[in-house]
Amino acid sequence: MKVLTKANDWVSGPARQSIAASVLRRLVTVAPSGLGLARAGLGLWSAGVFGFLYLPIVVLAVYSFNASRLNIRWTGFTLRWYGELGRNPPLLEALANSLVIACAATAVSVVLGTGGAWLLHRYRFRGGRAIQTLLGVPLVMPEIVMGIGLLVLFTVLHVQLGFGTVIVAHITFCFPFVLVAVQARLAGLDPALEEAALDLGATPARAFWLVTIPGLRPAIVAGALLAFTLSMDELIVTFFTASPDSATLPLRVFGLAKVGLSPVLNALSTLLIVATVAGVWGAARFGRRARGAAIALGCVLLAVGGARATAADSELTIFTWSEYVPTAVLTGFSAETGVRVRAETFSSGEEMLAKLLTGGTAYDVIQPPDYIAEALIRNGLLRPLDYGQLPHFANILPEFRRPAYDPDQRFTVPYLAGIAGIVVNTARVTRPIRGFADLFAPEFKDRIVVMDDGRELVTAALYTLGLGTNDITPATLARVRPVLARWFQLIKLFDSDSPKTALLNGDVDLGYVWCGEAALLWNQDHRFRFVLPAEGYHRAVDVLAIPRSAPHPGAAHRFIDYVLRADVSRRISEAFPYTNPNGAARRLLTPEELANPASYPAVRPPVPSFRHLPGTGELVDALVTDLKNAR
Amino acid sequence: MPMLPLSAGAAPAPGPARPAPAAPAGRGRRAPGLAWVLLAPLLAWLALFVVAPTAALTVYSFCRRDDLGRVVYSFTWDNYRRVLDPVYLRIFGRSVGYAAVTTLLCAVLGFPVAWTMARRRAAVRERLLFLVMIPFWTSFLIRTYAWIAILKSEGLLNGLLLWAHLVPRPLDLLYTRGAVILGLVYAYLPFMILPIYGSAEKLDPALVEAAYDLGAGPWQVFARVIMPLTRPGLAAGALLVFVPAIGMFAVTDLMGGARVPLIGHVIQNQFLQARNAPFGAALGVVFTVGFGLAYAWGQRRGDRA
Repeated sequence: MKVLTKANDWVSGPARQSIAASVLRRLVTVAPSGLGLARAGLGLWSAGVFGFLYLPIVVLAVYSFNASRLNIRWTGFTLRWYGELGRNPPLLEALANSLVIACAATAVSVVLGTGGAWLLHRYRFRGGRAIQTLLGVPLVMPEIVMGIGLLVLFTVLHVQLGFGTVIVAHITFCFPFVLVAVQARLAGLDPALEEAALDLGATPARAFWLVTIPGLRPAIVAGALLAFTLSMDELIVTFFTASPDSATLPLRVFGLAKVGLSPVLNALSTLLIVATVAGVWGAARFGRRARGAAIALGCVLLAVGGARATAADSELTIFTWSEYVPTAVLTGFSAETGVRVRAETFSSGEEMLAKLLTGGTAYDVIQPPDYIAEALIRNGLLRPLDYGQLPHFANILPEFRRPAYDPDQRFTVPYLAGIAGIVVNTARVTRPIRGFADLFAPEFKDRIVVMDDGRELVTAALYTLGLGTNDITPATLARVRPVLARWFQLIKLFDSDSPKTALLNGDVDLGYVWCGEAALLWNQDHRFRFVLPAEGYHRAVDVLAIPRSAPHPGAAHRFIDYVLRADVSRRISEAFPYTNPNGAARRLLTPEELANPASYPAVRPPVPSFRHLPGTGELVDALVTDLKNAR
Repeated sequence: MPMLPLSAGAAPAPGPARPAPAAPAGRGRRAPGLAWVLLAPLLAWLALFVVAPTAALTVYSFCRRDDLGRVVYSFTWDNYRRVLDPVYLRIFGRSVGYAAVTTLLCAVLGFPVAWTMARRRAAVRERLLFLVMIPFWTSFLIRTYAWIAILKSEGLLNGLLLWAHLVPRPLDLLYTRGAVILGLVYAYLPFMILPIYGSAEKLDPALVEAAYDLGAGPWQVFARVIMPLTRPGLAAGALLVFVPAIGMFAVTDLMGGARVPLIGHVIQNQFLQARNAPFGAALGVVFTVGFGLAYAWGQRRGDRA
């Protein structure tokens, strides 16, 4: 029995064989013994778990060769996305940023975590238990709380946001993971070894380096991998501590969901994974040389990161919706004016507001939705625009001038507008859908997607009660409650970021979504019909504005006027098929673009819009949370 | 954590010959001045980047907010009173439940993998370790969309099941409770595997062989030899999975359709939808303090065991 085990342990032969192959070999060689069966079972189980880990990776790699832009149905083989990757500098830059930040955060985390674990294990500190508890705090703390907390701290200390702040934030949530992993290993390590080294005349430092560290190595490697992975994938703490120059890959990727996750991302992920797997295999094979190459590559990345951190003379910092301002527009503006644009993105108006109000980065141009712009105007946080510097404002159609949120047209310029409405997959739903009464019918149970946005849902319910867009009071919310409670029984999923995905996937057949989503669906397949709800609808306008604290108002005006130009605005419409308020740009659109019923629905003016309603946000949120909780 | 202190700290250690004054081996020795100096960077880091932001948020949690969502420094208990609302307690309980199931599944799935990896030759071991982590270097969003492609009603899994005539019509896999758990387990499995591996790797295979030679069956070996000796790793893994899983929301929203609220989502919403930072801070503080205490209690119990 013993001989068999031994043989089985070491017979597995050459290092480069796959797990599956070795499992098979074991099955063949040691099948008769019970022990062998147990081992084979373990091997099979492990192979199964590795399969589970890599299944989605294989799927995303396959889809990186899919010709369809929306990344949902297989329409044919292409290498196009790998080509486009090379022409997408922001994405590659974000990847480089992510790698630089993750490497730095991992290095410091390993030192802090390993040293801390060893000291806390070796010595009894006064207040050691309190220290141990504090070390657990970053593990527990919700990301948003840590993100805002650190942003407040950096603002109070007048630290400029950038690579440094992101790395500090990442270390803070990474090093406890290293520490816990190392502590678990220390718990069973024989202390006699280190004592023996000391007895043999080693200095404590030497004993630590030559005896303790090698003993801890597996846990240190595991902890370092955990830290690196956490850092590569973190989103929210990074959002609040990053500057436009230090945006990471997850920040860019999150924004892309709005326009549909492009296969370019699959291509990038596939390359990243293939490169690292090959690197890990190669490092073992070529040993030192490969490790040297990896270190050299790391240095190049750091140098690239450092080089980009040096600022240009004239620059402009903009804070916009993710992927809402096409890269071509930014590079076009820089080429024409010589002004370097630092672009930072957010994925909801409230997210932008939270970061803007806390401070940390001074923005020149921001892109709030209309009702947040109104709140900013009322609180004196926007700078009046000099329309004399904006000659192309003449392109804006009359119906988009002097809007309710900026009645004297002093602070804002409209960018794109959208209507919230119903989208129907007419191939699956034959009954005519005219409004919310038809949409929220029992026969459509579990076939509906709606925006995950309390105010939009409450407003739709207000329409069915014959109330207006902004009639949100405790009394009207009490009447809204039963309506929403009934609707929530029928809804399959809540998604603001990309409701089109579930519709295209065929998981749902109807939706209450922004018209831009419906327009993208229509472009993909004409069976997705956009319907203006009979009970009522409203328009949302995203605007451009300059914060009062903007450091470069001159360049900000030049940028806004550039965006108002017909040729530039036309380009924006091409990427985002929302309603363009720019009349001159509309004349440049193709007949098909203008005929998209979701981009340019037949509305009856005046179309109402959301107003700034102080104090209602939490009432709406509490209502929606309560109703969801009741399910 | 649980096993060692008994053998190393309390009893006079048998091994070393050096006539040490108090407790000679490892833990339990009073920290000399130099140890404090070495620990200083860690303490400074904790004070500046953990205690200070937490303190700022704690101050927020006793404040009111203006209509923009800015914090107004006037004292109130309201935010904490609201935390005790049954609605939020129920959400909290549900989140803990999901996290507990996730931890259990991760342990069951991950333990054999960590064990098998640890029994390989040194060169193979570390490469396998990398292989466990590499899928997670892509963005979680991309991975989650890949899962959606697999689970959707016209997806790969349903296609396979239909092709094999195992089901008469597509199953509803996505936007269910099962999908939420799947997303959580997938996200946190490596956080279970790696610490267990750290413990299992140092386990002397001779102990296992000795047990077999003495006539133990595989199950007995596992329960009486392997389990107790890898318990620190298992405990660490459970901590690293359970605690973050409670606050997770992005993956759960995408896979579950955001139909039932989880605590991470609710806290996030206070800051980014309801514009009520003080209430969000209060939820965050209760959440953090609650688990900090539970963690300290677990440590104390572990030390006594």
